[in-house]
Amino acid sequence: MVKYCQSCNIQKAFMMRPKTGNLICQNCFFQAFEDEIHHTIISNQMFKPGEKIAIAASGGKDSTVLVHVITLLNKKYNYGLNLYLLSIDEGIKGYRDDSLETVKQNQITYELDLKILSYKELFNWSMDEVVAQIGLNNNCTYCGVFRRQALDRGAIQLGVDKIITGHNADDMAETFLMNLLRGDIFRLPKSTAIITGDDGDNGIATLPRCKPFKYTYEKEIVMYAHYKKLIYFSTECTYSPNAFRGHVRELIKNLEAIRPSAVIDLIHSCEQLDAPNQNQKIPQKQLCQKCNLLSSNKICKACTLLESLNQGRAKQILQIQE
Amino acid sequence: MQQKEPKLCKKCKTNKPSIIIQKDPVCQECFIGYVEHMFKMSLRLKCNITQKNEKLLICFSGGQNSTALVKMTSDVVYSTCAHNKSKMFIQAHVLYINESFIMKEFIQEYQPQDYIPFLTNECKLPFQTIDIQSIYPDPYVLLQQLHNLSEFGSSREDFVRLIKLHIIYDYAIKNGFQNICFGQNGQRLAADLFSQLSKGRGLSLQSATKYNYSFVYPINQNKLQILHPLKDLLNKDILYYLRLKSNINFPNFILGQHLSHAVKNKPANGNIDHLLEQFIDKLQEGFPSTTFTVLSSADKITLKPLLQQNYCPLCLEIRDQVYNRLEVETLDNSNQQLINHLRNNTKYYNKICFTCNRMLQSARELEKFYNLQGFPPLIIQLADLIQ
Repeated sequence: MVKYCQSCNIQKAFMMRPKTGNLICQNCFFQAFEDEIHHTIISNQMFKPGEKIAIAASGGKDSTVLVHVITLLNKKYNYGLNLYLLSIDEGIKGYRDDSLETVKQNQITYELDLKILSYKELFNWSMDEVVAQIGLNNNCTYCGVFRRQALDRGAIQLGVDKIITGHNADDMAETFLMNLLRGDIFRLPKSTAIITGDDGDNGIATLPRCKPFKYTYEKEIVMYAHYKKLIYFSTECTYSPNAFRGHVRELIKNLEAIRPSAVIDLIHSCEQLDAPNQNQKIPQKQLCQKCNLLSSNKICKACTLLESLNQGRAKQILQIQE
Repeated sequence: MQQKEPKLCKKCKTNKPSIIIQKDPVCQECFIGYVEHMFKMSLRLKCNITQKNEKLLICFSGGQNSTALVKMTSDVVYSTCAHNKSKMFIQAHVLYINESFIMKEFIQEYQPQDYIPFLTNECKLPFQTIDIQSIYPDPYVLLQQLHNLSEFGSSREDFVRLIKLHIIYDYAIKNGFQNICFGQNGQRLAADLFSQLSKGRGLSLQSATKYNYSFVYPINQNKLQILHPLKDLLNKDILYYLRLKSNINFPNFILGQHLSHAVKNKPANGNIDHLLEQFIDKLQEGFPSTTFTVLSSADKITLKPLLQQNYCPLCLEIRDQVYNRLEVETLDNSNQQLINHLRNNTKYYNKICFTCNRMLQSARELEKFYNLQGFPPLIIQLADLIQ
């Protein structure tokens, strides 16, 4: 028996939509996918005409689809944005060097300017060197902290107004649960914030980061990329993520398998949360005394981690000399 | 060669230890003493049960946690604690909601349990049994509603839970019980919290895990206190306590155990509550501070102020706010027509909260649900009263 699309009731269904479990044809899927991202952008007043936007591009599925969709919507709905690609080379052989080739391909395809910054040139450490120094424990902490600062620095160099990232609904739901499990109540309300960094605490303005994929499912991003024949790099990082996040990721996948709306329901739950009350000690935002970028302490996390790495390197050199 | 000293109980330093409590090995006697002490302190200091002859309604389901709760309550009322014999002058009354009517329909292997010997002979507490279907004018409507609800995502279990809550609150108010005790331990509360969050009930963060939560019943503005005195205990504590104190081990029949093949292929048999229980239990084994970190975080979280505090007549929770259209619908035309139809053509659609709407999604005969057709008069009365 032929099954028809539950959206248009005209075309034959070609898949079950991960978000709803409903049957849908290819055209309706593409249309709905793009319309929902457009609605997310408009309803959250994400951009203003004339703004310069850096798209954080890794060459993976999320950022590749992000580049494609933002470019498409920018033209279709006249957002009036000036788009740039911003890539960070963490210095992981066999992983990042390959995915950057995909980003360069995107640069040509979408005719966008591309800026690549590397950990090596910014911090004098590549991730391969960091892992050689500290091993495989907490290496994701170093990478995450460095990448955040690297994106900020890259955005400043490009002179953009905002950064957009490919964080999707599954990522946000995962972050929410991770923060709850770790007891990180300060980060909890912001786990699903669509725009972060624009609150200007203490008069310190930070570069806003926007997440247009907030309501977009990871599975749908994969399907969109596949059926649009977009080229992306799909290998996992060589230094795989820690066990704790893996548990939460597996939970999200299982929840989705039982009830497709569970991911959005988690986001909805997080939306009910407010900032910690005044009785809680909230870290005050300030500028790092070393690098002059945003920090919760006198010295930012990136500089603190760098110092420990450099001390370790100095000790090694001394040992070799002895 | 030096011989290793045999380890002794950290508390009494005399007996051989048999269980670890918060990294300390303790013997059986000290463990019982610890649990009894925790329970009393929890009731007095955290649940604020301090008045003489204060009335306490104990909700009993036959599960391990509520069995332990009833046993501990009986010990403090009759001063039969193993250690500290100080009595608590409370009027405890047990309420058991008999679900045999629906269990027989959905579970082939179901055998009704006789809890009366345990409640009367062992615990000696006054108790009341209410059949779950008694709240319905036509009991078979309840079965029909359950059949109409989706097999997936704990919809049926959630619906039964709502009906039971209505029965409990109604009984408590009619019989003058301001304090209602539930038996979930800390690990179960953490799992329940995650389960509620996964269903969209973010507002439950303010109540689901509290020792003592105040709730105003919408019909007559009666104030009820929802208590969780076993919050400081974990699954293993309850299991071990029951093994030592009572030989009772009632089998646990879970609604939806007898499921279709399609559902059996889903994780945790398609049940969100079980999935989250397994998740928390697994994390607790690998990371022992999981439960208390989650509970501690939940205690400190604040919620966004709501423009209006209106209740959902089904779950009696405050209706939360939807901040973006994409939280409730997609833009692929597959559900917008249905939502518009229900919004414009049913009596109570706009009064049902986000999570109860999710529970009802994929149900058959949706209009009957949203018109509260065949529902208990109590729920219809609430729905008419609520804005």
